[in-house]
Amino acid sequence: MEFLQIGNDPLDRPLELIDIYATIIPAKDSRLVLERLKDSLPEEVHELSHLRRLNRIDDEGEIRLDLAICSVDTIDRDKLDSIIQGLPCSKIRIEQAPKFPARTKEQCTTWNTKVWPSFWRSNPNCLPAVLTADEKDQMTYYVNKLAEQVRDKHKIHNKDLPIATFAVDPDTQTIVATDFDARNSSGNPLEHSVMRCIRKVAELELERRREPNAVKGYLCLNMHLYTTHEPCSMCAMAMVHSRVGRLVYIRDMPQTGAINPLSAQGYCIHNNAKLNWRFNTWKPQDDLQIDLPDVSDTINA
Amino acid sequence: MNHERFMKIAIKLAETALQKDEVPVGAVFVADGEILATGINDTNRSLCGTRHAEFLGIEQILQTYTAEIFMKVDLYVTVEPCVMCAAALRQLGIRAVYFGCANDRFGGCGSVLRVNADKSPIMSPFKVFPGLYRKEAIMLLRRFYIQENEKAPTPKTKKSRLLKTDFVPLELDRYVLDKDHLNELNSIKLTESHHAQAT
Ligand SMILES: [Zn+2]
Ligand SMILES: [Zn+2]
Repeated sequence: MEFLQIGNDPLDRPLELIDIYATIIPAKDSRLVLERLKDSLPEEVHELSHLRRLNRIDDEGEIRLDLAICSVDTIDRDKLDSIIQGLPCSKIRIEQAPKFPARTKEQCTTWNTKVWPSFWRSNPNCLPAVLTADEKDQMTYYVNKLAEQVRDKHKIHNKDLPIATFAVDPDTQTIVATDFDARNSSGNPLEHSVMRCIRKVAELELERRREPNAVKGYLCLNMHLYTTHEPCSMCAMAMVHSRVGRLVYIRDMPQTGAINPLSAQGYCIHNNAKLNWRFNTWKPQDDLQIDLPDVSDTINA
Repeated sequence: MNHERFMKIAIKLAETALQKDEVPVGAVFVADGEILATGINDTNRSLCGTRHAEFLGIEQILQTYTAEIFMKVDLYVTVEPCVMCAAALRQLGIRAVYFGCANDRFGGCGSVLRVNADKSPIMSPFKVFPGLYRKEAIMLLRRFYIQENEKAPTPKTKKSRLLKTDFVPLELDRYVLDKDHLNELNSIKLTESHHAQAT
């Protein structure tokens, strides 16, 4: 199973475009042109370092390059014309280019067939975005097991919502606690699976500490939480309070979720600079292939 | 109105929390002028970071009533509800929240996020009225941090053991949404020295 990391940038941000000036120059003159532009152009007003500035044109004869000069917002056309006067440039054109870098390599490849080409680089604004093969295997195992448990439980007990959470200790690779949504059976609308699971971890710790010389645990410090649905603001903040180390969720909750930047108010509580704790968060790339019983999208998971 | 009476009880509850080595936060839930439930922080005893005063009170109410009761429930709490509690209160559809001091690190009603009032396709917002018995609420928190520091195996510098008694003004814009809301806040009558505007 492949996983996507949920950062603060939308993973599938639609292509936003910006107008740029472009011109065609002979390859042999590229140095001269670039130097003149560097000396004369005002500073670029947008962050466009992801754009492929020079693009080779494949045609017969002399090698030519298509050059992105700068964004239209940076300089007036008249001023630009006077700067390039005397340079071996073709007539200035206006082209459309992606305003922001692509989030995935695939996205970049698609964009490059439609608009001005850009480079793909993995996004430095994200938390460390590398999973080892072992980690992926573990995550796949727990995701499948969680989905299976929620399906099985739903078959025999469908009064409650089919939402479930595991707390996993990544060092011992054991499930510390499992819990299910119980808002309907308990009559308490706040009995979400994440809240219940966190409380269970604490109850187990209280019990453990009754043993002599028990090694003390602290909240859910560094534990990995697996949950079927993107948590609501309450549950997401409960994870911050509990010092959770990682979150893996299966389904997005676009109207109520507090993690995915595209969900609800876009709080990104797992990675919010205003809060004092962050945890990296992943979801399966093809989450729809994982079979989960239906949950209405108006539900706070 | 009995704002003063309920907030005083919340402060008393926070005092009890302090004596139990819990972060001093007290909560009083009121409907039709009657106290339905109270709560104090219980995170240290329970070893659970989510056992905030609000949750203890909510659970108490739901032992007797169904969740529909929250439409007419007001909360009086010494510290601004955190993001988690603000989200919980909004999901329950609480009517209004009156609080003492801001929660600079975790506040969910304007200090860090505005979970109580940001646009939601699902839930209606609730209003907050900040600054009631604010100084008392702040002094309780300060006393707690000094008390914790003295217990620490290696107490910090002497400076952190001094009880500060100065207060920066409350940034009302963070919590008050519009002019009507401000008028409503200003119409709350408390003993002069306890009002938000008096600081
Ligand atoms: Zn939740
Ligand atoms: Zn709280």
